[in-house]
Amino acid sequence: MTTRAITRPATLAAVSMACLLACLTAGATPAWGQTVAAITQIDGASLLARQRVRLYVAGIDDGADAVRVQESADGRNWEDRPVEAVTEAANADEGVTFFFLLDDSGSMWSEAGVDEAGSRIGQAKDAARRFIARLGPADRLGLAVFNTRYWRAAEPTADRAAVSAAIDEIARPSRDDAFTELYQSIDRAVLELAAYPGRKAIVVLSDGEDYPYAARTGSPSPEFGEAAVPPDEAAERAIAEGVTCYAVRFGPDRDPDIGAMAERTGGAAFDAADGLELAEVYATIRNDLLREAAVDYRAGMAPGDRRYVRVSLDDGGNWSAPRYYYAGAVFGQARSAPGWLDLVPLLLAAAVWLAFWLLKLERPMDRAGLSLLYGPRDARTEVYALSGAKTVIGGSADADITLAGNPAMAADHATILFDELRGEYTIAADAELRVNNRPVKRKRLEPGDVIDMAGTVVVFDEPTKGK
Amino acid sequence: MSLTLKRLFMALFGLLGALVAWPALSALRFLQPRFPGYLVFTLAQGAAAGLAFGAMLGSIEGVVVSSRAKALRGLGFGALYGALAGAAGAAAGQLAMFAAGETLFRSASARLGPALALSNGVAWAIIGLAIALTEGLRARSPRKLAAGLAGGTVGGLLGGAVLSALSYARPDDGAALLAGLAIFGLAIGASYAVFENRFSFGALKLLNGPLKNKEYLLASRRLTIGSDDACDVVLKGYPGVAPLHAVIRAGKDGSRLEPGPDSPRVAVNDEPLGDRPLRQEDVIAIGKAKFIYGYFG
Repeated sequence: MTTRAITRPATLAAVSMACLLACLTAGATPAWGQTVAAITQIDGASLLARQRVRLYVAGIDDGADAVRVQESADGRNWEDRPVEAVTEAANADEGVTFFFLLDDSGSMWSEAGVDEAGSRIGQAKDAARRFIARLGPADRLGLAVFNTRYWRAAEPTADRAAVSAAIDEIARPSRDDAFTELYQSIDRAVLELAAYPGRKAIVVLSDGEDYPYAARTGSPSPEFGEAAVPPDEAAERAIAEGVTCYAVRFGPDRDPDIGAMAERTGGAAFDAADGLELAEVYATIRNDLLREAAVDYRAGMAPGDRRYVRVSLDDGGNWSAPRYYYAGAVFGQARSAPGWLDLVPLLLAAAVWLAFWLLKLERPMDRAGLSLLYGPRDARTEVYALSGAKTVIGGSADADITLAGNPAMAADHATILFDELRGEYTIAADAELRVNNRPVKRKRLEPGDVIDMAGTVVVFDEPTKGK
Repeated sequence: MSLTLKRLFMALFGLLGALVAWPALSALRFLQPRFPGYLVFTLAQGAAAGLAFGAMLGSIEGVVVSSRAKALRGLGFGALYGALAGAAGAAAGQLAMFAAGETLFRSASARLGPALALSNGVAWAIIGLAIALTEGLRARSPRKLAAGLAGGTVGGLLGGAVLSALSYARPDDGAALLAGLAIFGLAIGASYAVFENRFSFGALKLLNGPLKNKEYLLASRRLTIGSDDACDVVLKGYPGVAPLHAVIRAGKDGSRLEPGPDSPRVAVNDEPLGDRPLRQEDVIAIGKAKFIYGYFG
C-alpha cells in the first residue's frame, strides 16, 4: 500500500531540484511524484438511486487514464468496480472550504530585533492575505488561532473582508498562553469544519512541537481540561469527518508527528522558511485541492455495513489507502445460505392462518338462556339456561336464576314464561323492568332482547327457529 | 368475539406476518450480491415484507367475523397494497438509513452501535408506517390510518432497533431478523388493537345468533351491515337480513343509522328508525339480528 508521499524536504526549490535529479539519474518516477492517489472524500448520495458512488481523489494528473477502483467488504478481499466517469478539477466549480489554523504562541512573535512585520506571525499573516486574494469565487475560508487556548477568529465564509479583518486582529499572546496545543486544536478545528458541506481542508501552521498544557503541567488545561489528543486520534477524526489536513512547518522546531498525521488524512506536510515560501505553499495546497478529480464508479452489492474502497491511477500498480463508506441494508445482512428449515415458520404461519380461516368462530345456541351484559358483578360471560314453563329471576337465593349483588333487585324481580305450544318466551314483572330500553310489564321475548332489571342487564337468546 | 380476544388476534396475526416474511427476507438477504443495485434489492425486500404483513393484517377482519370470502379479499388486498407500500417504505427507509449511516460514519465514536440501531429503527418505522397504513386504506378509514400511523411507527422503531442491535452483537445470525420482525409484527398488530379502539366512533355488539358477542368497531365514517360479504358487518345465518341492510354513518353530531335500499326491518329500541343519532345502549334490530351500540372492552 502506498500513500501520497508528500512530506517535502527543506524548501520547495530543494524539492524540485531533488526530483529533477532523481528523474535524470534513475530514470524512474520520484517517490512523491508516483501516480498514487489519495481518496479525500466519498459521496454516496447516489448509491440507492443510481448505484453510483463518487470518490474525490487527489493525485490525478493529466493523462492519468488508467483509473481503477476496487471495493471490499472486509478490507482484505478486493474486487474491481466499473469506473463510469472521471471528472478533473471537480472542486473548481463547487469550491473548497479552507480553514487556517495559525500557531499564535510567543515564539511566532518574538525574534530579537524584528518587528511584527518581519516576525513569523507577520509573514504568516501576509501570506494568508495573499492566499485570500487568490481564492476562487466558490471558495470559503475560516480562521482559528491557538496556543494554550483555541480561538476561532472567523467561521468559514466567502466574505474575504471578514477574514482579513480577523487576521488583522490576531494579537500577541499573554505570558500565560505559552503552550502549543497543536493536536487538540486540530481536533477542534476538524469538529468545527465537519458541519460544512463539500470539500474541506485544514491548513495548520506551526513553528514548534505539540506542547500540551495538561501533559506538561499535570494540571487540567484551562481550555481543554484533562483530555489528551494524540496525533493518531486527530488523524482518525479528520478522516471520519472527511477533512484533509495540510501541515506547514514554519521555523526551526518541527513537530515529529505532524507530517505522518497530515498524510493519513490525505493531505501533506510542507516546510517553509519565510513568507515568500509560505505563500507558495498555500498556493500549492489550493492547486492540489482544485486538481482533485471526481471518480464515479458503480458500487458493488457485497453485504456489510462498512464498504471499503481504494483507487489506483496506474492500473493497479499502486493503490491508495482504503477508505470506507456506509452500505448497510435496511433488513440487515446475511452471508450464510438459508436452509429448508427456514421454511418452517412460513408453513407454521400458513397452517395457523388456514385453521383460523376454516374454523367458524361461532357458537350456535342449543338452548334458550340469559347472559349477563351489565351488572354489579364482573361475571359478564355468565350464562343462565332457561328450563321449564316458568323461570323466576331475582336477588333471592330461592329464585330459579339468582342475580345477587344488586340491592335494587327484588327477590323475585321477573318471571319468564315458556309457551310450549307456540315455542315462545314471555317476560312479566311487577317491579321495574325495561326491555330494549322501553319500560314494560309483559313482553314476548325475541332473541337479542336486552332486559334491564333495576340496573342488572341481561340478554335473552334462543336457538334460531327452523334451523 | 370480544374486543380483548380480537386484540389478541391482531397481535397474533402481526406475528404470523413476521413468520411469513422471515424466510423470504432471509433468502433475499443472502441473494444481495446478485442484485444489480440497492434500489431493486430494497424494493424487493420491502415488497416481500409488505406482502406478508399486509396479507395477514388485511385478513384479520374477515377471520374474526368468520367470513371466509372477506378474509380472502382482505388477504389479497393486503398482500397487493402491502407489497406496494412496503416497497415504497423500504426505499424511503433505506434512503434515510444511508443518510444517517454516512453522518454516523463521519462522526466515528464509541456510540456507533446504538446510533446505527436507532437509524435502523427509524428506517423500519418508515416501512412500518407504509405497511400499517394499508389496512386503513383497505378499510377506507382515516381513524384506522391514524392507528396504523402510531402502530407502524412504534413497531418499526422497536423492530428495526432490535434487528440492528442483535445483528451488531451477533452478525450473520438470522434469528436477529426473526426477532426484529416478530417485534415489528406484534407491535403493529397490538397497536392496531389499542389505537383502533381509541380512535373508533363507538362499537356494535351482536347479542344473538351464531355470531353472538362479536364486536364491531366504528373506525370509519361509513359502516355497512348486511348479508353480503362486501359489507363491513357480515350477517350470515340471520333471517330477514338484506344483502345491504343498513348503514351507520358517523358525523359530528354522532352516529346515525340509515336503512339500506330494500331493508325489511330496521328498528332501534323496538321502534321504527327515527332521525336521531344513536345513543349509548341503543338496541338495534337488523332483520333478526340484534346489536347493542356503545363502547366496550
